Amino acid sequence: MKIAISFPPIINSLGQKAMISQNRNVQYFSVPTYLLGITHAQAATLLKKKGHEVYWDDGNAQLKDYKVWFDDLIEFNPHIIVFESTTPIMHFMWETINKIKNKLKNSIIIMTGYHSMRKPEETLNNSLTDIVILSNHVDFVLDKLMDDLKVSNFSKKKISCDGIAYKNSNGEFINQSFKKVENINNSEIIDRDLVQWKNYAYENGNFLQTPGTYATSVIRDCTFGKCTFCRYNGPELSFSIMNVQKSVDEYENLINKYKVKEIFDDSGVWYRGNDARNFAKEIINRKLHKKNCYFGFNTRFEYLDEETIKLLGEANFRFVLIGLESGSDYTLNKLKKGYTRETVIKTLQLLTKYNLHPHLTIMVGYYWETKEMLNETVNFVKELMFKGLARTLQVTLCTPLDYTPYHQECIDNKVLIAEKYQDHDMSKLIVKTPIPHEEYYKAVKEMYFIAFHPKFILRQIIFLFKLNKRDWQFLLTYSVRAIRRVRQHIFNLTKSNKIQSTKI
Amino acid sequence: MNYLHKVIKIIKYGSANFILRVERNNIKFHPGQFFSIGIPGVPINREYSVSSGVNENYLDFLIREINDGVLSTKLKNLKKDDQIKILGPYGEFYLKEFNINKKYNFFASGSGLSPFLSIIRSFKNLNYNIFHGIRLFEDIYTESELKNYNIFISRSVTGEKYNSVNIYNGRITSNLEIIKKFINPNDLFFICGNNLMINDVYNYLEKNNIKNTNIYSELFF
Repeated sequence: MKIAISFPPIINSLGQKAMISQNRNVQYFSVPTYLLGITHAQAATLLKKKGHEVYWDDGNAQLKDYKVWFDDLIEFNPHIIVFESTTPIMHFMWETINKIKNKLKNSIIIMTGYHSMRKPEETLNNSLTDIVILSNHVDFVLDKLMDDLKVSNFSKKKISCDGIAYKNSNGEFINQSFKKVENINNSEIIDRDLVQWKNYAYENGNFLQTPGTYATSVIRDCTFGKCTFCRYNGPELSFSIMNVQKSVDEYENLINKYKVKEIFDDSGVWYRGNDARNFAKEIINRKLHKKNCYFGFNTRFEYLDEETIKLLGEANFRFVLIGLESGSDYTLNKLKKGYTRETVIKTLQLLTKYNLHPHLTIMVGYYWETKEMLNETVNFVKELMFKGLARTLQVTLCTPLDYTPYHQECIDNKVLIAEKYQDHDMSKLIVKTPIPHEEYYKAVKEMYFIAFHPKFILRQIIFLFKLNKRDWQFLLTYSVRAIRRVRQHIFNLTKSNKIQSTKI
Repeated sequence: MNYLHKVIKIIKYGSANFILRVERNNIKFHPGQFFSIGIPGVPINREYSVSSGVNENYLDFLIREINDGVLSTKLKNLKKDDQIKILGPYGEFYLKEFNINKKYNFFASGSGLSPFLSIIRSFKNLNYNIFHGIRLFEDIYTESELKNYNIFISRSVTGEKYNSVNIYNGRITSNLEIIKKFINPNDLFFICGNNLMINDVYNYLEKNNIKNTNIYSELFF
């Protein structure tokens, strides 16, 4: 069958692109970051391997405008089109699906993603979507679904595959339970040529060297999976772990065949303990640490001990993305982060001791966040950055999305003030807060401007005396990109009110 | 907020297992949930399921000391009145349906028994089957206690030969056909332990027509 895995380009009235950013949230940027959807890329790889004609159709990364993207898809005339949902683009997706269905009446439209899996009836009611996948294991479910979707005799009555929702021919909703546990050792390592990996290799702030790429995730979703704001949280999700050898095999191939210079694993949380140490040892055994390629991953505070971090440093790991979220213990507890700020400094000291570059992600604007809590965060972040305990940071407005526990909590507590899904694009606060929203926006700017503070710059200069190549690269190359990105974030905050509905 | 709890005692048993018993400090939890545990000043924490019942005034954690493990070794060496940091509870791995006419089938490897002990100790009137995989028979601490409840227990022992009723040699996953006779498709199934065991048991149950909605799992890693 002909299968398109499609990500339409979405551009707002300011000409900014809707980019899937960290945690697969959508944010609008004029200079975008192109992130490869890992599970969808694995699905594409698997389907191709099974003999289907797969069209990897990322309109954003392929730099298409909407019309070109739309016309190309219609011309391909797929039997099956797979989309990904997330809250702020739901209306756009529904309209797009209806337009496609007008042109391609026999194509089967499948919606995936964390929004629709939690509200499948909404998507089935509001669009001509045929099937919603309820499982996060998009690749496994799509594979099983193919037997049901042989187009010539496709009948919604006959779908036997678990893990999907659809309307049968009587208009009744069928919501199939699904297998929550899958062995991701049986999932595919991404076919880089199929997904045109170079489209994602350069425009990404996480890469100090390019071309860079994202590895096939070793952990699907998150080993902790309890943070209330995160979409990797819910009784329907269960994480699974890939074995170390399989992942290192991929790294070896990426370095030797594709000559990548930086590899990032965007698993919700990467390995810890023995798995992390074995991974580092295997990288060293295969001498991949000598190939001028940096490695990076997401982790949690209090997950990695000194011995492990030391090994990671020796194995040429560099970028460590770590969710600080807040400097307030009250907030960390409310978010169910599972750690307190007490040990943040110690963790960061260990990471910097072994020349890793911690990147902090911070959020502000929780519906309970007082001025005192906000100040705790700003002051704590300043302290960490000025002491050189983190190299980069990313501050976002906490936005309820995809019916996560935090989203549901906002609805239940009647603090959600967004009127439509488009408002969930992280460009402005959409919850009632104890202090004016401007206070949070000011805090965001204050934290981004740390990058221009003499104390921070001096600290980066001091790092140069350690004579590590990565520190020189950081100051000379990365800082230029950082300035550009800081400008974008500030622009988004100051212009947020002008962003109107998306152009279609 | 006070996350600190005093250690009451450490009960060591078997090859490398111990029970960490700490003051409860009025923490509420659902039996089956886990906590994030650390030692003040040490930047490492790990998640452990509570094994004590909701009516006890202490919290028990059944822990296996890991070779090269950073935290488990430190926890094992704690002394009475030492303090540990406990955050939580977290997780959805607890009973949401209570039906005395159903069997609750628990599949556990090693310390994966912990959440099930908490459930059994909290809800004594339910009917349970336990299928527990262990390395050595000395790795069982709760045998005499469990005999007091309405529980069928089957053990799979990997590290030594055993010939006894309802004790099998090998992994749980190699004994699934033998223990099949104890399973009714309408019952509820809970699996807790390592990745491989969970995958294999889940696949086996699915192949034997157990509905996905009746299977729950919690992975220890």
